[in-house]
Amino acid sequence: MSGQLVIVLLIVGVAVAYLGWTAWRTMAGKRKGCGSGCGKCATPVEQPAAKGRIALPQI
Amino acid sequence: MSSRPLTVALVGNPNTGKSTLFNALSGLRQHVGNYPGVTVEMKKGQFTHAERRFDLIDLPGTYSLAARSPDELVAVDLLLGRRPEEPPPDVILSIVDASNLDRHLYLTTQVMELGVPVVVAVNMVDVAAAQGVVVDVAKLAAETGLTVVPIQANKGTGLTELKAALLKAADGHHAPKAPVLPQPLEAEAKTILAGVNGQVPEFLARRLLLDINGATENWFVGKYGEALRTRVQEARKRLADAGAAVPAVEAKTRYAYIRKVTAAAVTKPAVRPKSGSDKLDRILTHKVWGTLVFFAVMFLMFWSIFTAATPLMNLIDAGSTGIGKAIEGAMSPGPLRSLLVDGIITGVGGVVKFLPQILILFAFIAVLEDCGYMARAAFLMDRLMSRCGMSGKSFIPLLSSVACAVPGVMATRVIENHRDRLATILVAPLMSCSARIPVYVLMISLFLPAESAFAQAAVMFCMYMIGFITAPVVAWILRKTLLRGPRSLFVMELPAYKRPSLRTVGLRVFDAGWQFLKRAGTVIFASMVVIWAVQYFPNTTADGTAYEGLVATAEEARDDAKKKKEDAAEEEKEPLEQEEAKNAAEVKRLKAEWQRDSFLGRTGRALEPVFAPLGWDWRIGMATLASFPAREVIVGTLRILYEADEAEEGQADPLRASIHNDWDNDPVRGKYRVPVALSVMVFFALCMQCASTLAVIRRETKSWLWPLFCFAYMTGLAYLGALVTFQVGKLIVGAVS
Repeated sequence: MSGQLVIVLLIVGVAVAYLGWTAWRTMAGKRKGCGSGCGKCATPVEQPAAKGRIALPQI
Repeated sequence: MSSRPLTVALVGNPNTGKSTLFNALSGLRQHVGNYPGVTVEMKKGQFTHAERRFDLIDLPGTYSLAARSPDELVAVDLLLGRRPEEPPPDVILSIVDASNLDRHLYLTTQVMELGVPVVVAVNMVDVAAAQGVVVDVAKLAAETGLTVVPIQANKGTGLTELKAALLKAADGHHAPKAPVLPQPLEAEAKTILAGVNGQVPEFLARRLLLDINGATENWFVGKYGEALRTRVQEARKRLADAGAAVPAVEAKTRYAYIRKVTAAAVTKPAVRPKSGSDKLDRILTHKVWGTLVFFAVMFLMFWSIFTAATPLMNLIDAGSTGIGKAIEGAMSPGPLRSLLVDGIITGVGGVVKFLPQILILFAFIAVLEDCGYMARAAFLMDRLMSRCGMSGKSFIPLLSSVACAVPGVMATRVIENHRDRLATILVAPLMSCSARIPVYVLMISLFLPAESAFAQAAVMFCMYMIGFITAPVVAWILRKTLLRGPRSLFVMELPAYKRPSLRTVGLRVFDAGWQFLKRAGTVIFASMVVIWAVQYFPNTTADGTAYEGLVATAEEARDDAKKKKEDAAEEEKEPLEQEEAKNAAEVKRLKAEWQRDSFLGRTGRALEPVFAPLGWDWRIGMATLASFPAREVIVGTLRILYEADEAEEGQADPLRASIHNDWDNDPVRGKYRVPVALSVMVFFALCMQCASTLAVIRRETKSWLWPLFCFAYMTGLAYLGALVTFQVGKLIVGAVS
């Protein structure tokens, strides 16, 4: 296996893992959001979000 | 410096400059829009004065503390110090509009009953003065018993005095001269309070009586049982018999108090002079002229997107091509070089190229919001919204969705009617967001030359209109079927027009650009790597020979023939030209075979029967499928699949040129170029291709059902729309030719 192929397989593996992690974090993650509205994180309900913000409860 | 910071809660009506004051005090960059509903989340900032730290909490703009929805009740609870995550406020800062004190003091009179020191910031004194309105702050302070400070939040005037007043109010004596509600009401409130063992503040007991079917009543009934509702209804009946019927008694008492206060403290002309805003509004809110102006503004925005962005787009294109060529020159052929050049540089560069257009769109949106025009647009659309069974409040989230559906969906929190809110959430993704711009621009450029910017803008305008028309229609269907229920009212204040702040617009544009680049550098980057991989592997023929080697040999032969042709005498050129063409065709054949046999190619060809009725080949189909997590991915994917860098040298837009060349040799796409491009655009206009939006819908509805429903209906609608577009377009082209 060539050196280039090894590096490529590593990069592709990292990319797949990153996309999977992003999808999981978006849909099911519990990490506090910043309230900026990008939708990449799951702001938990009824808890203060990141520093400087308060998440409103959602209907 | 004192160890305990002072907590200041900022309250005020929408459009009082509340967010501007928050930003001016705290130095934060909260998004300030000159129309109601921008502050959908409470935000917190800090500032220091006289070595004392202040925590400033910005509450959503409201006209009253009569909570109609749970989130409004949270704001009331926060003011009462009943939220576990926040300390009780030491001071409440009530901001009022000097030109409209009669109405804005209503909220202040309610805040005065909370038992917390109140400081009144009289904002927009300059606007009031221009209208001949003069506020005597000393008399206002004397009449209300509150500290009153005149300010101009947008210019930062009076802020030092305001900070000093907040500090003094927090540490000092608090004796507001609040309006006195009728004695029977106070007595009934005390009875209610005794019934719940004094577990709630008296203010809430009064609100329970005053706010019929409000969020306070629902909260009380939920906590103390249905029997309490009966007791409250009986109390309201007794109040009506005593001549203090709710809810009218509150308005009567407060406005009588406000009239007395303003009579002493406010001087204004007998006849309100017609302001420039009034004159403009006669046109901009007119149902015919206003609508025409709205469409003209939209058209101007799209025209600018096509014309002003081109030079910068070409520059980005040239930059990415140059980087690609430099890498090709520095590295030996192999999968890594292919990944860098054909995957990352080509794919990500193809998306980043649309940055100038995104910036122009956001600059327009920011200017329209900040100058006060968006509120007029919402007012104009209220008629349409109410006919579709939604409130005019729905239009603000829909307008926000033109930039991005995620904040649009979040902005629906201002809609208190659950069915209205859900209907708005479900149709908000139909509005064309900024992520659709690259698809529209690319597809439009396939059938309209760059010189016809006017026609290009017209097509873009039509694409946006698809969302503007489809969203209310779908909302109407939802409100007649799944979400049947009564309509709700919409009250909105039109703010005075003002010159947009360069800083506000600049920050909004910068944030939008930064978000776009961040997305290109993360999700889109990773997507491009994966797409490159599935179209690169397997990279060997059936007998195990590496395609890369075969292509390199054929390319070498082609380049040799080209070089020989250039060096040869004129009479020897023809056979060498044929040899060069033969070798070029072999390169193309090998690459096409490689792509067809790749994982992506095999899957695409297997799915081709699904795409064929839409006029798409497997490459368009797979690029569309790859775009489901994020729409922008299609441009990068098409660039990889159509090998844009193989386009003839000197072409301004290599992807456009590549697709053009390919479609010219295709019987379907060559003949029906316009219907195919329109079909792709209609699909993207109607389809739910955004994982972030689905996630935010799940969070806002607290259910998987609604995002799945939204995804299913939008995908079905998109397929149907694209099918009808292509088939009808095909018939028209057939008839014309």
